Amino acid sequence: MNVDLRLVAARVAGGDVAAFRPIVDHTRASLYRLAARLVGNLADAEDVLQDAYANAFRALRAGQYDGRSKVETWLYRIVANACVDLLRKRRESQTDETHQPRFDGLVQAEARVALRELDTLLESLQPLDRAALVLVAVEGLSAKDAAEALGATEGAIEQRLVRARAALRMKTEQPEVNHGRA
Amino acid sequence: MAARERQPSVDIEALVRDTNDLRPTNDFSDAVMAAIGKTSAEDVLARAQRATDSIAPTDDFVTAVMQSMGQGSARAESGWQSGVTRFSRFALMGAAAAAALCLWLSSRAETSFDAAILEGVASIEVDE
Repeated sequence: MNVDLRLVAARVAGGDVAAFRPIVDHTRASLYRLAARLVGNLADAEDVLQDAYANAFRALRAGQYDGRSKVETWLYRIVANACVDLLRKRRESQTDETHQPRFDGLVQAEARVALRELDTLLESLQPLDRAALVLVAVEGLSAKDAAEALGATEGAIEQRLVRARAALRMKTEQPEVNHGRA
Repeated sequence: MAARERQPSVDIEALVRDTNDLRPTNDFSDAVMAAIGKTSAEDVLARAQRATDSIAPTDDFVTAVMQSMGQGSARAESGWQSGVTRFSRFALMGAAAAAALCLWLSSRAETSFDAAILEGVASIEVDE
């Protein structure tokens, strides 16, 4: 079913707080997927997404959504940038502590394993390089759309993709140093 | 007797037939490649895409988001319910205002009644 969320967003902007629920209902699956793929684990994805929704709600109430892009696209940008911020913070603090996800009842074990593997592969990349790579290679966006989502130019995204792929190639082609260890 | 002897072979035939189509998923190939250390970055990215394609948070997530905006009960509240709630609030505030007005009027009436009595008593005393 196609729902024009712009009308719903206008109701939220007009003070109808409960109207925000259909926006969350309609977008939560795709944004959860995006956040999980970008940050590499479900617990952080939930936190980021919850904060992003809260920020989006405040922005709607403050009239900061101009309706030029679809609500889904606008939220996608907010979540993508929130994830990049989290990756930056994680890189600065270098903490490994993660809590358990709370809303992951519908996620299969295979997805958890794949996310862990993805996070391990991408952990050494710069946050924006990582985000560019995930948006293009996993989310399936074009470089132009990824640039729009991350607020960068298409050329910058192309550069980041080249750098990220080169770093990954080096990482996966490195010889195993622990071979033969008991 | 012959039928009983034929039974095991029938079972085996059924077993063969039923297991003829057994094959592992693509993840098995991925797991084998990962085990021998031949997983490329592209494989990991493709697997992440495939495995996370249908993930979604539970319905409780929506409730938690709405609660963080002070709308925890908004889920169950339909239009008429919110109308009733609004009317109840209005009625409650009206009743409180009316009670305050009555108290004020009563105290005013009491004061003027006391004053009238005192004036009456004073005029009687003057007359006497």
